[in-house]
Amino acid sequence: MNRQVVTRGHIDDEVAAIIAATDDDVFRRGVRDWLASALQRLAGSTDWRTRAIRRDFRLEFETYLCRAGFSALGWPRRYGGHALDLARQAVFLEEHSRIEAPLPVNMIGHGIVAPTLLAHGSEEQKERFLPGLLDNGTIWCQGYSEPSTGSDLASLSTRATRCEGGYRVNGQKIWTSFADVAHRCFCLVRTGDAGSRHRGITVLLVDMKSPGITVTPIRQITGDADYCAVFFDDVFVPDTDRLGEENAGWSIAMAAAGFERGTYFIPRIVRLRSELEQIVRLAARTPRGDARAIDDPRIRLEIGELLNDCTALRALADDMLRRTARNETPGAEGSVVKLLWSEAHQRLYQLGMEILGTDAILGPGEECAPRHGAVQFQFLWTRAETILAGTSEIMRNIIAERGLGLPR
Amino acid sequence: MTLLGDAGESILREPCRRALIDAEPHAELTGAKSTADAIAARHWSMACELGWTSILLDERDGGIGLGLDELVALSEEIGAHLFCGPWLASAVLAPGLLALSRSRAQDFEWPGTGAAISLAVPRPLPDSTGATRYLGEHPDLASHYLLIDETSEPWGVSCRLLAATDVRLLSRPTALDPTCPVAELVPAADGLGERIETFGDDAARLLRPVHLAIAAELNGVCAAILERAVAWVGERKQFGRPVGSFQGVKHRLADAYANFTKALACARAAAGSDDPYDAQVARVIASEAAARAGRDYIQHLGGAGISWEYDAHLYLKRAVRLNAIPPVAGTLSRVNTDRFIACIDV
Repeated sequence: MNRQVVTRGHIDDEVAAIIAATDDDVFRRGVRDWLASALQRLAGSTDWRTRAIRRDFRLEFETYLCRAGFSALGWPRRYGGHALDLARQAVFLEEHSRIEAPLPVNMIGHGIVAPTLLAHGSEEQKERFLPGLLDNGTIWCQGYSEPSTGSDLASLSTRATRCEGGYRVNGQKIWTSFADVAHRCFCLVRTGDAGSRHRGITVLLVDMKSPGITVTPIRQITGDADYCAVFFDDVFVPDTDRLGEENAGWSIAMAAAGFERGTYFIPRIVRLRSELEQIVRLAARTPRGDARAIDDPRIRLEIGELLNDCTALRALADDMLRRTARNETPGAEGSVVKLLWSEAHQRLYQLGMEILGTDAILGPGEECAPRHGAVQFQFLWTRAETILAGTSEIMRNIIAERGLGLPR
Repeated sequence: MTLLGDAGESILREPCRRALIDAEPHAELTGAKSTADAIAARHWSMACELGWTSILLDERDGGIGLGLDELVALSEEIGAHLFCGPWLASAVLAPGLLALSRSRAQDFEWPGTGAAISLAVPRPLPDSTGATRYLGEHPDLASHYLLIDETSEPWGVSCRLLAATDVRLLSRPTALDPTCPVAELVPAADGLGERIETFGDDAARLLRPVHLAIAAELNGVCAAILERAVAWVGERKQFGRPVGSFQGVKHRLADAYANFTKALACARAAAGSDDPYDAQVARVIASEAAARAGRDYIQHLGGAGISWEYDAHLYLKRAVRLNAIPPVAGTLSRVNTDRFIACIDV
């Protein structure tokens, strides 16, 4: 069982040395310097911060990181990972956020698919799919929501019918982030009777190039089109692309949701503090009458509340990481982290908009706006965060029912 | 359900929890006649006997010399089971003052581990002669009072330890919290007691165990509130269903639980953190979580919540009392914010 299943290709010598560092400070400084020079190299003469919200640059930087060796930090070695402990992974995230490196695009792949495959995939599937995550060659999307299926996920109706060697899939997914650039879809389909709810769901890892798939980008309130409608018209999916048993998809989806609400949100919590620092810098540079926005007691008060939340959420995230390391499945705590983080993140950019004053009228990405309209962008985007991956209302139900044992 | 968890790494939690459960004062306190002084006397002698008052104290001073993790564990249980007695000044602040005065070769008459040192906080307005009046807890029990004054510029803390014989009790006002009787008092004469003052980072370090103990006690209060509220809304039926199945009730409790989880992780992490200011954050977070849970608990109980004979008010009142001990959450938040902003290179 201990054979090497996935072999990682050659990685950057400098990265290999940083990963191998025995001293924590050497590791941190190594990551910091490497990220700075990598960003400079990629952005050329422009400031990378002005491009950090652009999708092409996000993807370019993410792939650059992965190919140099900064991927699969926590995976076991026999799957090509670095088997770094959680403290080291947290250091990497801290440095990544300190320098305001662009957020990854393949978050579904690295944050959700990878841990789910490692836990539930066959060895053949791990061998086939993990290399594409190591080098970011395979971008993943997640086919969950449907036009009539939002919070009530067990009501989904995209149907997979048995055929020779696999399934024929018909139906529609919606709000599927990055489906237009994705190579694979982690997709939930109905294989049981129409009324079978969670007992009749199967996970398929659908090749997005399959004949019969149509992807239509949907414009969001930010003006961008990062998510899509995905139409399945008699799409063939081979048996080998089924994850787990037929009709056993619900428990895999719940495990994936556990990863999503747990480890997936940790990088965002780590990032919260440097985002708050950015907002403080903005407030220090923004005039308000004869003074600056940072001198406004109301703004200072809200900065204080957010600062407290940053510290407390970080303690909660660290606690969560320790539990994950002990192989405890994140339960209601994952929902607590998701709920508190998404609401704090919204408050952060509500504050940002207040600091902007009349410049709040300018649109996201507008070059003449402070920080190129990044605050407006985030203000709008954070509205999504209390909706996606389980709405705040669903989080509260889970917390009350599973955390406190209240009646359904 | 025990939201504070099992013994875990703490050696004190389990024995303390058992002792505190046996000594729970709820029935006496919600009875017709308030008996807080008698309960406090009983609780205090138990605490002294079991050595709780000397956990932070150095072994050479007759203490046990345990760390802040144990302080947090014990304080959580103290909050959850409504322990009555001058715990904070005797067991948490006084040992810190002793260490500080020693490091400065300053006189501090350490009254020993058996002393009942009561916290005495200044009232906002002075009396007609301009003198500060203090509210001292547990006057029936106090052998000493630790008088606290806040300094504003630079921000810090100023304390004096006075023997009970060196203060003049002015009155015995009704206390908000039935578990903590108070007296209004002033020093019997000018110049009594050595004043120990400390500012900035030193103040943050001195008060670190105090904030941790208050945060942990509030978290204990919050845990008890949640456990009791959940039991109530699971049993109480209206419209043929448990009221806890209605989302209006459920979501309020989910928020309380989320805030509690956050506060608990924050205080426990702050006990092991290198940054003494993390304890201040822990207290701010815990103060909001407990106060809100306490107000909500009364709402969940409906008519029973506003009745003396049910215990909801005991928890809310304890949270409010702990939140009024200076430096309060608002001050701590301001100090933390100023420090954070000053550290950022704008």
